[in-house]
Parts: sequence; structure tokens; C-alpha cells
Amino acid sequence: MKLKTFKIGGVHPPELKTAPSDHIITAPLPMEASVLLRQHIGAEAKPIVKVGDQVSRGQKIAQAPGAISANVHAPISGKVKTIAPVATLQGRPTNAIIIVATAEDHDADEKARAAAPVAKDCSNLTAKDITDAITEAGIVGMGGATFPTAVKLAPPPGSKAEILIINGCECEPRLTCDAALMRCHPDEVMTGIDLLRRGAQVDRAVIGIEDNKPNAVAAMTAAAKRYPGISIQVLRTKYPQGGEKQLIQAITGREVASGALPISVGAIVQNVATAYAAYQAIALGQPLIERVVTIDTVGNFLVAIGMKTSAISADIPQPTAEANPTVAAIDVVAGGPMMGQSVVNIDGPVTKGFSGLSFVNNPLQFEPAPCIRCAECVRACPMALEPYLISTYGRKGCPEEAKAIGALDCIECGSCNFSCPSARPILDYIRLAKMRIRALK
Amino acid sequence: MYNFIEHTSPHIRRRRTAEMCMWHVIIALAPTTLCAFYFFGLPAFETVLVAVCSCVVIEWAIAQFLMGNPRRESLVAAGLTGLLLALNLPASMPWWAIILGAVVAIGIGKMCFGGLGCNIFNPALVGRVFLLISFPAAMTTWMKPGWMFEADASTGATLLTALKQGHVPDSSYQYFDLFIGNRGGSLGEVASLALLLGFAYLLIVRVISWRIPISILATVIVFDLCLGIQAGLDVLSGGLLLGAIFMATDYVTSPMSNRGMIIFGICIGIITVCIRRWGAYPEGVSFAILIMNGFTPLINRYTRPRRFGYVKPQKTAAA
Repeated sequence: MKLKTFKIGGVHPPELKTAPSDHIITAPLPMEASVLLRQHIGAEAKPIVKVGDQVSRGQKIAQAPGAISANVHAPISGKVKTIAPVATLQGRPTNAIIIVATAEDHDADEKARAAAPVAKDCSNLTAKDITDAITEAGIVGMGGATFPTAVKLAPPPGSKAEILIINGCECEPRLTCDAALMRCHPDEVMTGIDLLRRGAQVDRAVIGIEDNKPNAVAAMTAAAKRYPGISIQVLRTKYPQGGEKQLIQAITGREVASGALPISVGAIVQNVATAYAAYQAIALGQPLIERVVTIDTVGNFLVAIGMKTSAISADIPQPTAEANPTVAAIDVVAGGPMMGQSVVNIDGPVTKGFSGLSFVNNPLQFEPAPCIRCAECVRACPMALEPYLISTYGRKGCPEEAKAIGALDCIECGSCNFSCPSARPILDYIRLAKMRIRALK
Repeated sequence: MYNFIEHTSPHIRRRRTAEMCMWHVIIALAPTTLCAFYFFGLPAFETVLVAVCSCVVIEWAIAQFLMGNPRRESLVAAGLTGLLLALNLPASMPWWAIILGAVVAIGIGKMCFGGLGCNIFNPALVGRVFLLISFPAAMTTWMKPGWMFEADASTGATLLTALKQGHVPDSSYQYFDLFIGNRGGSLGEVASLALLLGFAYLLIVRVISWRIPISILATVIVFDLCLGIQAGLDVLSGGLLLGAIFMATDYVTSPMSNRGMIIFGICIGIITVCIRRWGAYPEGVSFAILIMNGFTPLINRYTRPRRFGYVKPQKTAAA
């Protein structure tokens, strides 16, 4: 059987998925957690605790002010130390609630965490019960986009969802956290998928998994036997399979129109980690205060949101205080090397959308050469754009021209930049073009 | 402890560089070049040496003194242009004419437009056509191959010239000879087998796609069959294979979309046959490629890929 995949473009970056996905290491809870008020797309959550308040693990500490936002919960028990900006992994100051635990708080939390969870029976919940619980638990898309999940599950008036697509592709090189979840917690993930499916009121859910993860496919296939509406679709590995529009095309063959949402073709896409979070929220009553992250080459860790990223593992490289020519250079990336952002502040807190750290040891340092019009970028683009041309328009400052050839369709997957033999910063200039287009309005 | 480096995404890159692509083409040309050395001997070697060296030196000089910093990949590209130019010349070409051709190829064909990546026309062909127009006698005096066996390097008409003059091909032109290169012609066009080997190599290392060469060859064959000409002779003789595989596929001067490549190839095929049949020259591939080089921006413009999810803008009712 010929495996499905998306039709246009795509590249094959070296996978380097060396962090083992057969087990998940539980990282100890931190004594101090910095919980960002904006870990999602949309408005910043409003704190509902004051400095000095005692909070318990799982308690809601900030409330979403509108639909496009998300609640935030305390990942540890303790006292609210301050509510002030802290530097994120990218070094941007963002408002956060900082909680400090005492030794007793910490011991009690660890004991509660180690206790075997008791799953509630969720079979009689209505769609509204499910989406309300997801909203309350502050669940957002955990593949990285961090769009509030409940909003995605409730289709806008006039559209009808037909299929729930679960993204288990993990097409980014180096990351294995989704694979680890599928291998280590297939039944929980499957329950979560079933809850999302019922929350979205669709009959059918398909889990897309790339064929480079046979163990995850096997585990999920076994777990799916109990659910008649849920099936597994193995996909031929190609980046960016996990792109929403690419995944929908790979699985259903439908093409989401330029500028339209997946719901326009009746599809809702959610990540496996989001499904697992939905399971934890609804069946275990635990809001989104923990997630699985990959530490490249080391392993997968279950970590509390808000903990210092550098504290996850002793194998995380530490930066020099100032540039030191005698030590090696490294590009530490939050997320995968294709779409992740460079880490500036390794002490920044873990957030809901943080999927892990990648360590790129041979950072790109060579100079861009002239474009030789080889069209590699055109062939690589999964949106069938002309990256070289949009990039030129961006560089020269021609926003109208860039818009006319579809610059806003760019998903910034980086395939063009990756494949350019002249090492041109194509995507940087496309981002510039998009910024200039947005400035037009 | 490490120095942390910041970079925008993506943080990784494919290993192949533009320079590597050029080296792949040079490797693909190696069998053809070696065949030329074998068939034409020392004069062939001199031609290649003079052409490559003069192209690189001119490129370097212009980049250094007129345009700023010479870049490594530009010099490799100039060397490749020199090699292609040499393969398009007869072995008996005088050395000063080759240098003149290199000046035109690199200086006018490439650097005047802004250097690597900016030229509209294939530089090697610009050089060749300049020489063909300026020195028609020297450019059509072909050494007979087999210098090792015959002492005299006498000259003879190529098959295409013979055809042009109304001669029916006789038994001295055997397909097998055409195939292995035992005939008169310019350095790179005689050994069809070596050219096909190079084509296979370029396809395997994925430096070029099949679209341009195959559409050129297919068009020539179909057109010839329609005209009732022996298509095999047209394909194997003259510079068609060299042009289709190595000249028309030049990245800079050929279209970027798959559809554009096919249109480009078909047009080259048609123009080639037209020039060969009805034009003043026995050989038309160079002109056909140069003409279509000029159309490349237009082809690019009208063969844009259909964007993912592209919806035709609805025509609003006229108010």
C-alpha cells in the first residue's frame, strides 16, 4: 500500500530523533515556579490571587478575560511571591505569577503526584461538559500554536465539523515528546481523543502518525481497538506533515482554501499532547500544569509548567557569561530546529506550548551567496509559493507585489530556507514581506 | 559551558551548496571531456585549458577590480562556463580566439548583468555564438578524430553540414560511430554515450530534473518524424545532446516551474529543428537555447505554480 502524505513540496531534514521515546522521566517539582500569564495566543489572563496568598497545586490563579485566552493554574503549592515580569526563554519580559513552595508544600505535592491517579468515568458527559472542562483547565494547542482548544472544538455558526484529525506526526527533527506520549500512555491519549471527538460532536477521528515512529503506531493501533470511531493513518515521513493544512490534505485529500480555517473543509486538528491534557483535565481533574518535553539527545521529561527550563536536566548546556572564544558555540532552540526559536535565557520558564529543547551544534555561519535560480525553494514549498520571489519583494520593500503572489499563505515552515544551496535567508525576508503587508492596513 | 548563538528558524540547512551543484556538473562533464581528449588529443586539451583558465581569470579580474569581492562559487561557475565553452568549440580553434570568446562569455554574457545569478543568457553560449559569427571558418573546421591513428588532422564536414548541402547520409556515418563519438565536431558534441552518462549522473545526484532535456529531445524526435527525417541522426549528431543536457538546464537561465521547464524544452526543440531544416546554419541548438533564455522571465511569469488552496477571485458584479 502506498502511504499517504501531503502532495506539494516538502523536505527531508535529518531526523536525529535520538531522545528515547520509550519512557518518560518525571522531573521533580520545582521549589519556585514562574507561571506566565500569557502562554497562549490571545489576551493575557488576569491574576485572581494576590501577593502573599497561599495557593495549592492545580488551583486557578489567573482567569481568561475573553474567549481567545486561557486560564492559568498553579503548578505547585506555595505562597505567591510576586506578580511581575520575568524573562521568557527568548528573553522577552512577560508578566508572571511567581510561586514559592515551602518544604512541606513540596513534599505534599510530590506525594500527591506520585499517588496512582483515579480516572473518573467520562462516558455520560455531554459535549458542553467536555468543552467547559477544557476551557476551565486552560488547555491550549500544545503542538506549539497554543490556540485555545475549546474555541477550536466549537465550530463557528454556519459550519459543521465532520472529522477530528489528531496530529501525531511530530515532523520536526529531534523532538520525540509526542511519540513518547503515544508509546507510554496510549490508552490515556486515546481516551483524550475520544473526549475531544465528543466535545467537537464529530463521529470520526483519525490520528496521523508518520511511518518513522513504528512503535507509536503499534501502541496507538492497539489502543484504538476499543474505539470504533477512531482510526490510525500511517503517513509517509515528510516535513512539514504536521502543518495543519498539509495534514488535512494528507488524511482527507481536501485542500483548505487560502485564508480559510480547517473547519471550512469540516476538519478540526488537535495535537496528541492536547488530547492527553484533555484526558488529564476531564478524567483526572488535573488542569494543564504539566507537560512532556523533549531534551534533545537526553530524553523526555514530564515537567511542571513554570519551572526553570535549565533545571529539567543536568545535561542542558549552560551559557557562558560573555562570549568566550575558547568554548564551543551552540544554538539551543526551543522546539525543533525547523520552526523553533533560539533560546537566549536558558533559565526561562516552561510554558504550555514548549515542546522541548534542540541542540544544534553546528550553527549556520556561512555567508549567503547570490541566488542561482535553481528553484529548490519553489519545489520545497508545501504551499506552492515562490519563496525566492516573495523574499526578493520583502527585501526590496514591495508589499503589494508580495501579497499578490500569496505571501500571507506562507506557514513559515522553513523548507525553502532549509533547501537553499546559496544559504540565503529566504524565510527572514518572507517574514519581512509579511510584516510590511500587515503594515499596509 | 557554551557560547549561545541566536538564529532565526530554520536552524538547520541542507548540506548541498551552490558550489557543490557546480562541481556535480563538472563531474558529469568529465566523461565527455575525457572522450574529447581521446579523440582530438593535445589540441583538445589546450582548448579546454585555455578556455577554463581565461574564464576564471576574467571573472576574478572583473569581480576584484570592478565589482568588489570575488566569491568562490562565482569562480567555480566561471570555470564551468569555460569548460562548457571549450566543449562547444572545435579542437583546432586558435588560442587567442578562445580567449576572446571567454571575454565575451564572462564579461558580456555574465558580469555585465551583475555576475552570478543575474545573467539572462547562458554565458558559454553567448561566447560560442560570438565566435561562430565572428570566425565562421575557424568555427566550422572540424578535426577528424583518430589523431592517434592518422597522422594528418584533416578537416571534414559534419553530418549536419552534409545534410544541409543536400547530401544523403552515406554509410560512412554509422550510428555506432555517432554514439561513441568517432566523428568530426566540436569537443563536447561527438561522444553521445559520454553525454548520456553525464545526464544519468546529474539525474542520480538530483542536480537537474529530466524535464528540460527530455522535452527537448522528445520534441526534436516527434518533429523530425512528422517531417519524415531520420530522427536518430538529428538527436545523435551535432550539439543537441550537449545543449539539451548541459546548456539548456543551466539554473540561472532556465525557467523555475515544472510546467515552465517543459514549455522551455518544447520551444527549444521546435526552434532547433526549424533552424537546422530551414535556417542558414547547419546547427541551431545554441541559437534555440539563447532565444528561449530570453523568454525565460516571461515563462516564469505565466507558469506560476498553482498555490495551495488558491481560490480564483470572484468577479464582483459590475456596479
